[in-house]
Amino acid sequence: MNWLPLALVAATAFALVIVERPGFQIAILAAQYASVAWLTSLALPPQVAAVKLVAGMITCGVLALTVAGSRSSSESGSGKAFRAIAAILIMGAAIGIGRANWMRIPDIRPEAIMAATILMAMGLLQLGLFRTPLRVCIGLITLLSGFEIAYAVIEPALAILALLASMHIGLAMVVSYLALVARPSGLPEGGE
Amino acid sequence: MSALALVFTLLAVLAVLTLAFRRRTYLPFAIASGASAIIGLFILAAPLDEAISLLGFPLRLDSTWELLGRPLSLDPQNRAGVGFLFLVGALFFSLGWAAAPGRSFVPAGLIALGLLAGALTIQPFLFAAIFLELAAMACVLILIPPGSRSESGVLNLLVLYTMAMMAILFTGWLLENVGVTSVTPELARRVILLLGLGFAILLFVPPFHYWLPSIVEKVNPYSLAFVAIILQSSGMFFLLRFLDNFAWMRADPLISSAIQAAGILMIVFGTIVAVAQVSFLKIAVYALVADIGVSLLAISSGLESGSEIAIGLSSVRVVGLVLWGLGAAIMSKSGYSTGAGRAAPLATAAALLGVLSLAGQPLTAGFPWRWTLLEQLSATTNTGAILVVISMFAMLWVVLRWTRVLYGAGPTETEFEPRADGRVAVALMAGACLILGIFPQLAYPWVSLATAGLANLSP
Repeated sequence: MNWLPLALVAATAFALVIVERPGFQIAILAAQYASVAWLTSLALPPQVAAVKLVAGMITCGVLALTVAGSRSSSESGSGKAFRAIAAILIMGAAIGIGRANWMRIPDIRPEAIMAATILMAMGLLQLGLFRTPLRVCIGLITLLSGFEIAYAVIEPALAILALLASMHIGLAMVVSYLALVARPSGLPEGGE
Repeated sequence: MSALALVFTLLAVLAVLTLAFRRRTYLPFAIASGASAIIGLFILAAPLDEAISLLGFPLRLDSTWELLGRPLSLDPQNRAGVGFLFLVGALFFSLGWAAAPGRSFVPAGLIALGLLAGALTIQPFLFAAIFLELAAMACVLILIPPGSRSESGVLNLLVLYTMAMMAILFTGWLLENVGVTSVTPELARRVILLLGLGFAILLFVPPFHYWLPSIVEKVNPYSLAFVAIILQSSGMFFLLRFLDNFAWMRADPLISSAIQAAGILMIVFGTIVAVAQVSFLKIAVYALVADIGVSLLAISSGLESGSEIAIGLSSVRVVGLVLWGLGAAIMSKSGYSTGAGRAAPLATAAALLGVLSLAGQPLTAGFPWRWTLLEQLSATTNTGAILVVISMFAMLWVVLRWTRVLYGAGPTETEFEPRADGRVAVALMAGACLILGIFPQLAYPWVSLATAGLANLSP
């Protein structure tokens, strides 16, 4: 049963690299947040893990409003086939690394360490591939979500959970500011 | 009443107030500079955890404030650092109107200062990394004011600080909960590697400095100077607290070698790239990189006063950066190419003097602490000391070369001078730079106070 959120995490992380339409990306990100909260609930009480889900939904809401207000188009960065191949390779490497508890975190479940590794690897891939604020923000959120799945096991304090959640919302606010208040930059990829 | 609760409440009110007055030319800067100066002095001098009488009313200011179950605490180790940040803020806000850094500079600057104060006061201090990341977000708002072009370069700052935060948080767990020391060599190596990554980002060690040159030509130089100094100073205080708190780190030769290697890399890299530079604005960035390298060299030197010299260098770095930022921001109206110095002679001279101070040239604020370091290192044959001297000569040559370029006859020879108030701001800072260069003892009491808080690092 617990492998279901792991499969969801892998599918959403892969889809975020491939999908180009900002609206779809945010919907996929919301699904990723739900699966991350599910995985976090394996280590924390569900009501505490729900903090991640609530913060994630607020983040997605801010990003959705930003996309709606900024008339942003998609950023492909590179060809879809290239991104798909890169995502498959990185995912394969992440699955290989995530099979062992490479962070040496005590009492962490295998599916949690696997999900953390996949999200961190795919987040890094997104940061390498994309340059527009929205895509960089989604890449950072993916990277952070992976880290937080593992970190929640070793530091379950509510204060830290809340501070980390505030970072997700802060990132969304900064991207929103850059898209709506500052003038968008003309990126060579024909981005936003 | 908690002193920190008072400070954070005041900052929140000030941020809202200055946001409301953001379209006024002088008012937000005046409010923020006055308030920051008061907060800085309050943090440095307020009697904490003892009963006092204020206008006849009994009052007790607690040093600790609990936020979401985590204590934020003002202690001797961090008071000087937090006070320093607010005094830096006061200086930047007081002269900011002359550089026109944008409407978000003051409110976002106050928020960033508050978050950095949170980073320096949270207990355990390892959680500071989260506040540093949040401060980096506020810095994006400072760098990109409303209506200006959104530069993807600022996103690099967020990416880097996110990685630093993750590395330091994970290290914190290893240090606090797993109890890593030098007797657990494998884990200790992992801690050193992760911490090295985190601090390399916080202290702009190449290649993690790249966000600076990527945006220096696209944002207001004054805003960039402010962001660079507050982020770097916080990183430096954070590093010193680590060394002060963990005895095994102070004793581990691998750590001091790593810090020394980073310092030498920064000096060599910063100097070489500054010499080869074709952009005037980027020279200051690389002079800053080399200057931070000198601070790291002081920390790793094994000298009794190494940390004191590093803190002294950090304090005078502010003067050089303000001067450069002010001059370069005013120069932006005439450009930075040949002849720009004839169009705006005073602003150009200020920017050049700022670079000279960052490079630690004699008679500038940056010199006395470098001289102290060189004097103490010269007792032994030290490669670092020789590199510092070579770097100083090379940077002098760079500034002389750019003086000739900027004051030479060129296409931008249209007459342009800043308003009278801008000239006053530049003249005041240039005077401060020279005075601190000639009378370094003026900065000494604060440096001494800051070092005294670091009980295990003070001489």
